[in-house]
Amino acid sequence: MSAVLPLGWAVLLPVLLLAVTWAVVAADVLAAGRAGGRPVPWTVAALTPAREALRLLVGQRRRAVGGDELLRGIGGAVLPLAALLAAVVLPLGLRPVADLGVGIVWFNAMEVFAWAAVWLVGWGSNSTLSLIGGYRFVAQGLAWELPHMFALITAAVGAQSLRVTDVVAAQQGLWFVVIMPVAFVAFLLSVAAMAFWGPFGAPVGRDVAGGAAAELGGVDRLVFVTGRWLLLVAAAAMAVPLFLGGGHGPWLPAWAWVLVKTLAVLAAVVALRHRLPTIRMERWTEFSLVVLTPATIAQALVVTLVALGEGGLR
Amino acid sequence: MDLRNALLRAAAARPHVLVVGGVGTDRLRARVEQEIARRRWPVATAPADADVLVVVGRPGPELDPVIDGVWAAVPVPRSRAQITGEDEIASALEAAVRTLSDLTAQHALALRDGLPTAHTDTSPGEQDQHADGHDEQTGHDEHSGSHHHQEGGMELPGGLAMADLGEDRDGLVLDQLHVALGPVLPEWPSGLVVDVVLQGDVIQEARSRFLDLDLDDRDAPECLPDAARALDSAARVLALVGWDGPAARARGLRDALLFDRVDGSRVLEEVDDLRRRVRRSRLLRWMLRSAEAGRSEVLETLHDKLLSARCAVAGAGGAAPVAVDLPALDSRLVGAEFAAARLIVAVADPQPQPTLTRPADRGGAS
Amino acid sequence: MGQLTPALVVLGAGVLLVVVLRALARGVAVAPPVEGVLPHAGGLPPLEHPVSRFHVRWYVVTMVFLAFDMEMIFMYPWTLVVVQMGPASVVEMFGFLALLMAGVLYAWREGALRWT
Repeated sequence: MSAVLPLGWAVLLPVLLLAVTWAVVAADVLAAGRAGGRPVPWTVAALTPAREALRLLVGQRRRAVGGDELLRGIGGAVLPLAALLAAVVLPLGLRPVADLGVGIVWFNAMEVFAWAAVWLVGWGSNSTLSLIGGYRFVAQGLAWELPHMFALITAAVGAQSLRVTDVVAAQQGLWFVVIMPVAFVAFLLSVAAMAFWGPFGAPVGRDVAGGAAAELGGVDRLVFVTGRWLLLVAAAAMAVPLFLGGGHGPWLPAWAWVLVKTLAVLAAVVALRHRLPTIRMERWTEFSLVVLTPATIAQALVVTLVALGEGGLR
Repeated sequence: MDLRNALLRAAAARPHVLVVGGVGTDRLRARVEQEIARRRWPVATAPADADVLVVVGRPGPELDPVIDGVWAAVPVPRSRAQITGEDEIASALEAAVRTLSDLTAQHALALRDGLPTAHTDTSPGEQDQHADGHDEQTGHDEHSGSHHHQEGGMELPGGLAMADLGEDRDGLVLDQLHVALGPVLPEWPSGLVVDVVLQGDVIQEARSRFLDLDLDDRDAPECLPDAARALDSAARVLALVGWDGPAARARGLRDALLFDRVDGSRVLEEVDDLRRRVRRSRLLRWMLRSAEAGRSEVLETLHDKLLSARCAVAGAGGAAPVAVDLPALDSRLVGAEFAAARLIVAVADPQPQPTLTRPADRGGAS
Repeated sequence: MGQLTPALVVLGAGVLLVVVLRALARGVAVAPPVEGVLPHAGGLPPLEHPVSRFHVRWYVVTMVFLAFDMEMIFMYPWTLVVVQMGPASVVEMFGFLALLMAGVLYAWREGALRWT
């Protein structure tokens, strides 16, 4: 049990994730300003997350005619909870908050709660556009989940363990991204997809006037939007222990490496987001199932054969 | 109370703005959008997301109640501004921010004198008409088990009916929704309403109309020049495909052409740059090609728009954009999936042509 | 169960966070919730309740997904034993995957992955 952080970190984990989320939202504002040809001063960008949160906190909530307030409330709350629970297995340094023997499966299971959450919000709003948005996310989820699971499994095969700390330990010499680049790319794509963000933002797109979130006001919207950003941060942070060597690295302590690598992944994702248009789900489904899924299976096969040849990568 | 005042002031520094304008207010709307972008305020997607409702021009008798309905759905803190001239914009926006950070004003605004209710009196007739029309179209005799929802005397919340059944293109019997899309939607042509029959996210029937067409023809001086209009429409398409950066740049170019009297060669350079980016984006090509089952009409029209903007800026006087009339738009929308339909409306960018409207039948929920 | 204790604490912290946020909002919000808002589709009032039997045209994809999802249930534990069990387990697993992929390619050829 010494591999686990003290229990106090369980309370600190949400604070840490929210701090990183703040930085990412600010970075996103900066990147959006640059992409639109109207640069935003970084002082303004740094305050934007707080201003938006305040604005929604003092804002009025809305109850739709015939809407299902309970379902919508549950859906909205599940989003941040799913992100927090998925982050439980993240090693903050070399030790996670909870070192589950099936950590990778746990992460997978928690992050899939978002499917239900977004759909419930879309349905509970009793609005045509919200409903379309909710269903879009389910359709999209069917497409990205398969390559995502194969990417997770590839890392697990490399370490022959489903425990996240074992996966990190297996990368002491060689980062997994070197031997499983396809799985890494597939995982990065699913990071944006599970947070229905950037190129995968169709469920809350402008064309459906905000989609699943179209009817949310006040704190309801705050919880939903925060949950979405938390999902992005938690998923991006998971790329570090799975593929980027976790806390391993020279000079710096392990926790600093985890932070640096996580921020690097998020910076790359934010920078890419503003260069790409939104992906249409029916095109993505075809690509994901016919190209990406076989590619990740092939990747898993290669890694399995390497693992067999060496009697394990450790 | 002091704390709440401070919170309100902090929150009001970056309000989300919903801009609504009727037919023929495009120029003033562009000016308002430019000012909002200059202040780096976000444009709201829906009433729930809005803090400030900006009404551009003087809405006619059809648009006016729609705006009131939208206003009733905006959560407090909220503020409403009416802008009828370019010189009012800055002061109106500043006044809106003052209202947003004024607690007593917000308490007063929180009291709504009754939200608008659904038009229950017209809905059954409308539905029958739609359902019958549909049955005739598909040639099926049985009325597909419809109308059972309204019977039974149960009072449904809001006085609204439940959706009725109808046959889809695969022969399944599923719910049909009658929805009036517009006029207050992101990236939507001013004053346009499309009454659609939706099954899931597929449009089965569409009938488009403009609100307040039969007013005096004061929209003549408000028409955008060709280059600006092409850029405006291209910006809408780019925003709808989720490419916000280039969309903002296209808007910036539109504003530069309309208001800034800048050096033409710089604008030309930037238009070329934008065209190059759009042409080179493989992802965009791949996505838009699917918008209409194999045909890349949306993408081609987008290229054409940018090209005609370039020609107009260069003074070459390129081909004027082809006007799309409403019946043609309707026929293109039938069978389209929702995202594709939004793109079709955005590239068609129909302009009100009083001679082409159907006078008698104004279907839907006006 | 000991392993899960920290996860439960995080769950508690998360629930508390949401509850506190909502309570805080109730305290500082300018007004109580606005009731009876009509769904927005452009500003005109709706004719019907939008909750409806939605036409999910991608239902075939859900079947494909389900097949793979079942496969995952085998594959996660498989990762733990593959090296001990040797090449036979690799052949079995990837043979199974090849069959599933053949199914996907068939569905693709039949046009099941396109729905517009």
